[in-house]
Amino acid sequence: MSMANITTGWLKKETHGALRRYERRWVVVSGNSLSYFKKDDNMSPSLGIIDLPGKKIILCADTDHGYKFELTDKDNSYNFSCETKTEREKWVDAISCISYGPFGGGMFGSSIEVTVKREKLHGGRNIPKIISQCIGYLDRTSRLHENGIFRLPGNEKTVKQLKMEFQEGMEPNLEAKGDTHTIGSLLKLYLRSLPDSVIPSSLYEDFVAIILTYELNQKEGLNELRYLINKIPCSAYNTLRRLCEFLYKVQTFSDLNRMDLNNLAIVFSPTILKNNSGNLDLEMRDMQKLKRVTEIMILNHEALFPEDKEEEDQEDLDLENIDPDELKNLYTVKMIKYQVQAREILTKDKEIEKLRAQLAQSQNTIMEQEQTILEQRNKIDQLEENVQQLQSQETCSGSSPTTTSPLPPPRSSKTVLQGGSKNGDLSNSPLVRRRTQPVTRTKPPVKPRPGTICDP
Amino acid sequence: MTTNSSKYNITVIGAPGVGKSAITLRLLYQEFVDDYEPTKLDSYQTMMDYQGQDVDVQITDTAGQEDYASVRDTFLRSGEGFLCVFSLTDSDSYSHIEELYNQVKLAKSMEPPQLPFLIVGNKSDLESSRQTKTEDAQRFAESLGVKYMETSAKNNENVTEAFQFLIGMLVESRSAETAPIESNTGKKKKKKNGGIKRFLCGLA
Repeated sequence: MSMANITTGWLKKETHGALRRYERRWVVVSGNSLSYFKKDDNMSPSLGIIDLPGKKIILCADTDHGYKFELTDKDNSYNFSCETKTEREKWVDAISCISYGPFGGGMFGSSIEVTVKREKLHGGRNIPKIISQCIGYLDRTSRLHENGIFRLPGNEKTVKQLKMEFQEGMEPNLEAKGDTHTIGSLLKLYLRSLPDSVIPSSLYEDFVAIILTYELNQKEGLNELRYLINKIPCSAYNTLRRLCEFLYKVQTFSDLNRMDLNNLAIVFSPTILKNNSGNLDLEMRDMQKLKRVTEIMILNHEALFPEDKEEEDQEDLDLENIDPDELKNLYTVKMIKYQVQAREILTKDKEIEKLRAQLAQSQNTIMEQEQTILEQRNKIDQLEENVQQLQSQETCSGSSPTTTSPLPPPRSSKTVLQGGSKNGDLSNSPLVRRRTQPVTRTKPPVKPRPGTICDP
Repeated sequence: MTTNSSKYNITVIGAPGVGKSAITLRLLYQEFVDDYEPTKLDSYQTMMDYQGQDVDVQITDTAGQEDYASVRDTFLRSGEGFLCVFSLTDSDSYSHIEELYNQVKLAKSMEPPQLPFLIVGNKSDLESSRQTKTEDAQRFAESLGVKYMETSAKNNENVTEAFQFLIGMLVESRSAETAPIESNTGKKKKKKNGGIKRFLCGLA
């Protein structure tokens, strides 16, 4: 159960006062507290609320009157009784991840993201400690060679005891208490206890569908898979990365441990990707595909998980449940982080300023050059005009009016209109038709008479 | 009689690696399959001889892995007879029997002697690495009110006998059941088997 989850059900709770007896209560575990009611109608006021963080959970010896557990702290004690052992397990799991969560435990039933955030306050790394400790334990030659590693279960009692110690934040000594199969089972038990599987069940359909693409085109399938894997939340991603990397190593010893890629994928696939629809037909239909995806992830772990992802921020940390020391610690960590970021921003700002100056300078240069180009153009124009002037003088003196062809008058040229276009005769000169104002103005300027062809 | 034509279901359960599939495949193919692939879920149809009659048997071989618990639990509910296997060379698998027994009892809401449940200690060929004494297992089975047998899938010892025993229980209990109100119970069983079939089609 994560913080967001709610566990409800009927339990027997021991009454306080002189006459102690067990009475049936509707119990709701939600947020950080356990509340109990007389009825399950969500209408009646609660008979009491128990604050869970910091409470210790004690399992009482089994009696004929049910399976009991006790919630205690310095001042208070509450006793509950369940009808079956399984039911008690359910309640203890739901409560313990809340009550031990802020005190270095509670990882069974909490999400990987929450666990990693909590542990980072105490020097934790990118993945839950229990994962790195279990893998650390198993990553020895003699243990990697063990027949049926991750397939055969360890001693059930030891697994449960280790789980309890981890859950209470005690950091048990695995070397002293474990063996290969017990620690393998513990690792798988932890993964199964997560409120959502390592690969979020919201991505279930997409991951299963990958196989179709992969069978058609491996490269494309791998690309799609990498894209999907990137959608996995940061700490879960890092955990899956570590796991695939380790499982790859395990299968390289398959001639000794008999756990090849296929066998490891069969054992891990339903745990790392759960389908939360509760649709068993679907689960059975997809079993083979899920196994294939798991195989592909283990085999291609290097390409699919290039590096650990970094936590972006820790905003949604449950601030109310942290003791002041932790808060102070968190504050210091954040301050340092922000100072570093501020320094980086400052350096970047300076760089930007420099680049801006450079940009302005080059813009100036461009403007200057444009100016020069403009001037040059004007000069060219002037020169052209001069040339035309000379040419027109030449034509006027050399050519006869009969040579001009009877072309239609130009459509728009002030010069032409001014130059006496009423008859259209004048405009026929190739020179006049151009924009050679100085020519037309200076030469045949003021009064163009109809009939005249040219002044000189 | 409807008894001949309808199927009997035997579900094989037990901790991982105890030889559930080895026993099943020994029965079906008369050979020892030393394959180490963990089972997800397999189902087989076969004919078995019971007191000179051919009976149709469906055998469901389940996963020992807890990771497949949700699938297995469904088959605990739909199963009829249970072959509960542990390995004589693995005391942890032996201590797991009681929990399995309780799960089946709960799922079927039935108790022995009505509950067709047989405890099987497999790998009797590996006598030198035996961890569970025959007498202890025998006594434990008696305390639950069920039968106990020791088998070896490798040497083909007691495998057919174990299945025969369960078939016997199933045939007896069904004929006792069908006698008074034949039509009703017949329908009920058919429906159950149909459900399993549907699941398995999906698997393929």
